[in-house]
Amino acid sequence: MTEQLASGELTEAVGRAVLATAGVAFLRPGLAQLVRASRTMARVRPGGAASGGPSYASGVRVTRDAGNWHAEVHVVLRRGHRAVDVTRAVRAAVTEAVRRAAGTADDPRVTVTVTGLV
Amino acid sequence: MAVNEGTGPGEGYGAVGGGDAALDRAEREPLPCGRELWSVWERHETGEPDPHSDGCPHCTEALTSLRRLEDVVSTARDAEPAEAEPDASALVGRVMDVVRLELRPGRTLPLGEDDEDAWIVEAAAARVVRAAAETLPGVRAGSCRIEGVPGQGPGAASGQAVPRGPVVIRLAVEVALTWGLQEVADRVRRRVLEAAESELGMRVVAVDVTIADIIDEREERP
Repeated sequence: MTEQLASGELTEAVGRAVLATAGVAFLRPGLAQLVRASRTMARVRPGGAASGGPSYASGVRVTRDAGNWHAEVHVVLRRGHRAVDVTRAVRAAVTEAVRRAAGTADDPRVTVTVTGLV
Repeated sequence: MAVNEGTGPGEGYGAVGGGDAALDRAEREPLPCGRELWSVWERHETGEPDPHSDGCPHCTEALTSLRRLEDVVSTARDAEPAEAEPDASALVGRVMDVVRLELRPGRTLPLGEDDEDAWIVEAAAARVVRAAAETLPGVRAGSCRIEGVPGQGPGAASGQAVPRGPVVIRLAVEVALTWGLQEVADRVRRRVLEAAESELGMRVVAVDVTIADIIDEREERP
């Protein structure tokens, strides 16, 4: 397995880009995870956001495999926005964020999953 | 039970709204006592007697967490009165809906065109479908299942059970006596198709509407 998890900085850059996209309410918040946080279900992913800062680990995962970046994003959207249009805007924002943060001109693969609408 | 392993990025599959399918791995959030988190919450909210939870420290903690979350949401609501919400309990309900969606997301379904990498969990899409049907007076939506069409879309040849491509929506509704059944089925179908296009951007190949029951509006919707 050659897949590697991206740095916390890159993951956070992607998270910020997603949250800045119109129609995004929040990243998959792990609300259920939050209420379990005091128990053993809380996990810290290596390479994830630094402790003490905002964590995007539950909604963003960025990996690199054979030189190709792959960002997986789970988002909750606001009602009143067409879901597929928001996912396209998220893809564009994430693509730009990965290019800038990773210093690459190549387009990453961006997978966007809508996990809820509020 | 239909599955769509390998078709989407999500890990959750299962029935939505019908409550009649076996739970798969992703829906399970087992507590140390073996009970499912969603099940404990659901029983608590419906008021169903649950002798196990009453004496189980793990279930008790889970229910305490649920109440804490509800308190946090309510407090946040009170702290931000400027954001007008006619009914604070509605916001609490919506947030709790999100929590439930996390626990029981259902299948992952394609959004957009075949060459896109966008998805939506079945539970979220089903809520839009049900809400669209219920914009018709005297219509109450029941179970909703949304599935890909085997054999269609890219990926079909590679053996994916439900590849990217248009989906089929199966919706059960209860309708008021005032409706002609064929007419209400047609109108529900149109509303659902409109919502799938305008609110989601999900391609739908068919909407199967089942009239599950006839309701007396005078009793059900005073």
